Amino acid sequence: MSAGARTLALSAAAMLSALAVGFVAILLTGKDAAEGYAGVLDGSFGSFEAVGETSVKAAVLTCTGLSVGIAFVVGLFNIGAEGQFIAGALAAAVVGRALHLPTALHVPLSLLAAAAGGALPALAAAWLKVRRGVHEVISTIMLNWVVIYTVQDWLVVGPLRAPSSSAEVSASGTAQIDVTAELPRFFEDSRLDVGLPIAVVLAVFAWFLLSRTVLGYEMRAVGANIEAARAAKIPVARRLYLAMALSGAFAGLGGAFLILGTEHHYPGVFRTGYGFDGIAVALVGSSHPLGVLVAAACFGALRAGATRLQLVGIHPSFAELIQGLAVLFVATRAPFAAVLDRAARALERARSARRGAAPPARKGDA
Amino acid sequence: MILALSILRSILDFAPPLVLAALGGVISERAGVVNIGLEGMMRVGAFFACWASFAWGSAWIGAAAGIAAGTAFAAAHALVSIHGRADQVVSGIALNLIALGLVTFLLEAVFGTTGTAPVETLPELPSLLGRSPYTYVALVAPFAVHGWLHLTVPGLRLRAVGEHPHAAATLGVSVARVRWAAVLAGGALAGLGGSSLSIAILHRFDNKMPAGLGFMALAAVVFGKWTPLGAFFASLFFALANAGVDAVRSAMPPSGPLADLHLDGILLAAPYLLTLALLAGFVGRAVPPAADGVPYDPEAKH
Amino acid sequence: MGDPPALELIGLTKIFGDTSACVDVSLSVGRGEVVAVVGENGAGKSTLMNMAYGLYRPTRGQVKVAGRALDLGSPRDAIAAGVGMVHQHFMQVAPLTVAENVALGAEPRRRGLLFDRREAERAVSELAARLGFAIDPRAIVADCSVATQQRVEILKVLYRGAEVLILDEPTAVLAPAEAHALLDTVRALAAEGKTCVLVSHKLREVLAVAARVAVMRRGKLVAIKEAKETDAGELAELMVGGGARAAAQAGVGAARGERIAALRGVRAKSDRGVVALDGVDLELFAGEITAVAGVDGNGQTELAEVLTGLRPVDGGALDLAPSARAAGAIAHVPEDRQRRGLCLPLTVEENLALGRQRAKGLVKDGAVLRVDGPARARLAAELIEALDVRPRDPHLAAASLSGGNQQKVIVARELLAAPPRLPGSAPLRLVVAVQPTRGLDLGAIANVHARLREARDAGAAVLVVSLDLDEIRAIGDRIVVMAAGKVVCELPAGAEEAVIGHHMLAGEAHA
Repeated sequence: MSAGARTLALSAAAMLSALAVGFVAILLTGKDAAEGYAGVLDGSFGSFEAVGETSVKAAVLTCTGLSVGIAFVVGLFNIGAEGQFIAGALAAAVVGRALHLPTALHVPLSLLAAAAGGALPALAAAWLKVRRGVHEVISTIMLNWVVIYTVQDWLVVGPLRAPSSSAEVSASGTAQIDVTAELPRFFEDSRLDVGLPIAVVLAVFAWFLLSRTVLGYEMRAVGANIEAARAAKIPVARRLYLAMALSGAFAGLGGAFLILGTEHHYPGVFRTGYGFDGIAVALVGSSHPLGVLVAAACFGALRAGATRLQLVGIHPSFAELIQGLAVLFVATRAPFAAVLDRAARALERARSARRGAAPPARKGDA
Repeated sequence: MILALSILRSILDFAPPLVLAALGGVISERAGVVNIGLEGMMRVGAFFACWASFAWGSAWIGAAAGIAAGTAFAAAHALVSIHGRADQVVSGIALNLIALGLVTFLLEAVFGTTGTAPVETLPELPSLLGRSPYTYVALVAPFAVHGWLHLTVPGLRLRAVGEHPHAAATLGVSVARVRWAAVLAGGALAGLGGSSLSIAILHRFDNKMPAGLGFMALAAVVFGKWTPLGAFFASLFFALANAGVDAVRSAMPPSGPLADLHLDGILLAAPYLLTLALLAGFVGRAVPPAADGVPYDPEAKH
Repeated sequence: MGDPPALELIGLTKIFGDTSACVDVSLSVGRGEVVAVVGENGAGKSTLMNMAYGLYRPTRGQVKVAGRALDLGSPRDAIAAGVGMVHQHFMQVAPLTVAENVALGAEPRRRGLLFDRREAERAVSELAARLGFAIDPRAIVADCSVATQQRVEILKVLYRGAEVLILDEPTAVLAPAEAHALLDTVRALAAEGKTCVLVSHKLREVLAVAARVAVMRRGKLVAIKEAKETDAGELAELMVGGGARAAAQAGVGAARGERIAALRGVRAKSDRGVVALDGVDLELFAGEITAVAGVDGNGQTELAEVLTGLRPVDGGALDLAPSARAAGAIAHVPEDRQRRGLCLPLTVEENLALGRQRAKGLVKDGAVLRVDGPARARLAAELIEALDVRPRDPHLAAASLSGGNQQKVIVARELLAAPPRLPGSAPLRLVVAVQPTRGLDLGAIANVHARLREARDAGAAVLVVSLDLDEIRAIGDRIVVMAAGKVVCELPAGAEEAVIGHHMLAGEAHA
């Protein structure tokens, strides 16, 4: 089994196991698990509109997944995707409101602003790591809270608040973006917008960068062994900054997709968790851009369909539980890998037996 | 003088969650297991403490439930990290995600809400000299852990396992057992710390809990250079910062020109900025235990 | 003969996955005897001893101590049975004291849980006195010298009442005089009735102290000889199986060429902030191999790092010829291959391109620098062939290669990934190789030495740091000795081992 296929199989096994555990968990609380899961399927793929919802969420998750993934490639844990997501979302909302240009210009400009907005907290964390040795897990989490509080409890309720609402009613958020900044949609009765194709392009870009360019090779070397990379005269600090800048930019773009595509302004209450989900997407997708796309599609479907769980009396946050379990199972490769290896060996023996040859020596049993 | 006393009182009230969780982190990491999951352990500790004390009408049972919940979560971390040799940071993150979803899920299932558990008052622990027992535990525990690490045989072994597990193993010390014990103890302390949030400080469970305190505790571990006393003082410092912010926030007038600036966000963000500034400025290159974060593989070539 | 043998290894076999590390080895050692087990790297000596100590479980076979068959599941069982191992790579917890390290796992207690520190310290001092040396039980192990750390290892096993001591490559990190002191200690142990098994590939030392020598080759025990009835030459032949040992000859190189590097009074600090280079004066010339001898830790590592730009110079002057300043003109075979030399998760092919990823021969033209896959594959195939890296698959992760093959990858890359094989890269002007043949068998060692000579003949200045005096004498066109951060003397090629050793220690004494 090739290394790539094995990784894919492990992620799939982890995902399925998480779903199975979730199924059992629902049963234990006495609710109808089968109907709940059926509802999730229907809510994510059961209708044209549903597929649109799934696609929109998958696009956003692709962005945050790529964000966390590209940081992993250089060996950094970017837990700050949530804050970077929010920063980017706000930037998009502001630029979307402040200008009036033809859509073909306005949308890219707003996206650029979002990328820059997301990159800023990420670069701050990178600087703290490179120059001060602060572990990025702590710094990105702290920055998360800084961004969240600054944006949601100051900027959006204060200086950037939509003028027509009063100070108490913070639920309204910022003013609506100009219609020229809205992400064009494809169909009348679906919220599917150009976010999905852009997300796919971003994934392809990430793949190309990492596997085909020298820059990407150097980034991977830094992540594989920073000391060896340094000894090989790779400018390690610059690659770390680049990776984190891209990481923050991707997360910010995810935020922009939501603002420009569905919300059309930065709402007063906006704790979506897409940033944290990005961690799950990246880990389940093994930080590979293609894996991220697939994982984002799965988790996007889960998110889209999860609202149906309420019909069976389960809170939609259940989806986060499934995600966490999937990440846990991906992290614990050992039991899954052992099962997979045994299955592969059994398959090999069956094949050789059919061919009549002696079975190959049993590996790893000593 | 009165202000100083009231700030001191605030610190004594607010410090226990940080101190206890940070101690849990120190124990686990000194044995060589990174514990990013402190946040999740505090969260389940807080929730189960609230639930149990409500269901059984006793805060002591609540505290016990908090400890049990934190320990159970830590057991998962230990299983995955020690037995499964998984990446310890990923495992911790996964557990935080699970805690996030699980507690929201249970909150809905048990109390029917996703905001605050709608219980008027939770039973309280008896107060000693006007302070909750948690305060006293938080004041004594760091010194107890320090003594444990440096004066006892198990403490010596724990330190050895965190620096050079293979050396300890060749001398017959069971690395897995020591690490399991350390991780479970860490989880128990984090769960206890979380329980103090819901049944001692805020007297309710809020779905935002512990609102990043687990990560602040982690920062206290780093800031305190992975020592129990260092983490203790670092936690006190952070508690002071939090108390200060709280004091300023409640002193802010509800209306008027100052209120119109909507500075609440900046005030809320201040403690986290301060934490970052301190980590960046004062800690320098803090060195964790040598084997921290590295899964131990007895058959690996050395 | 009434007493059962102190240690009996009966038909021991160990198989890891596909590899047989040890096959059907039987050895019997009497009480108070000193026996040596010799063999090439990878011959299976360490695996054999790890089974005797309980670190590995034998696939087949039995271990008997004092006549009792034992099922050694862990070092704890071995310790309980009186078998102690002094490891080659010291198993010490750096921040703890000598007493704490010695007592760990068998700590004296007060009232059940408290560590009786004073008792531990007393016991350590007493044991050391019995063996004839002094040691400070309160010293932090990280601050102790290597020879002292080794004594801590020996005290560890004696503290636990070991009757059988296994010493794994004990003199690998010692200067000649320190090695003699260790052999004296071994004799003292034997005189006390302790049984010693020495695992080593230092044949002369082993013959000086052992009664019998067991030779292993490719996992099998090929001979057991009485020390009095054999010599180093015969043992060496048994170790490699008939092929004569590669003649230790200093090659007749091209005449000295351009001066490539000049160090004048160079000072530098080590990682720990201590002075490592204390005024080094050295000149390196094209067409010459300079072998640097010295006890480990006297600045050789830092010298290599300063030459390759990995460590800043704190004082003095380091001048490189202009041709050596071009990117890629300096090759570095690092001391710690896993830390500095390889990105283990990446493939062999990717590792072979490390440091050369921007060379014109490996990139495609265009606005964005893209990797030239086919060119990389060609280079990888050539290099793998040239150094005989096994397995031959360039798409394997470097982590899955054995230590010796990993070393081959690094050497191949550093010495061979240059013109003409790699067009567009700068010609090699300086080669800095630290312990380049560590972990390699005789054939590979000869190959690496040949490549070093090739690089020299092509016009590079070659600096080889080695802890193996045989290698120093075989490869160096001239020999310099480093002690206490300085170059203390220069010797001609093939200088006598005793002379080199004298300078290694005399320099240290004047520190």
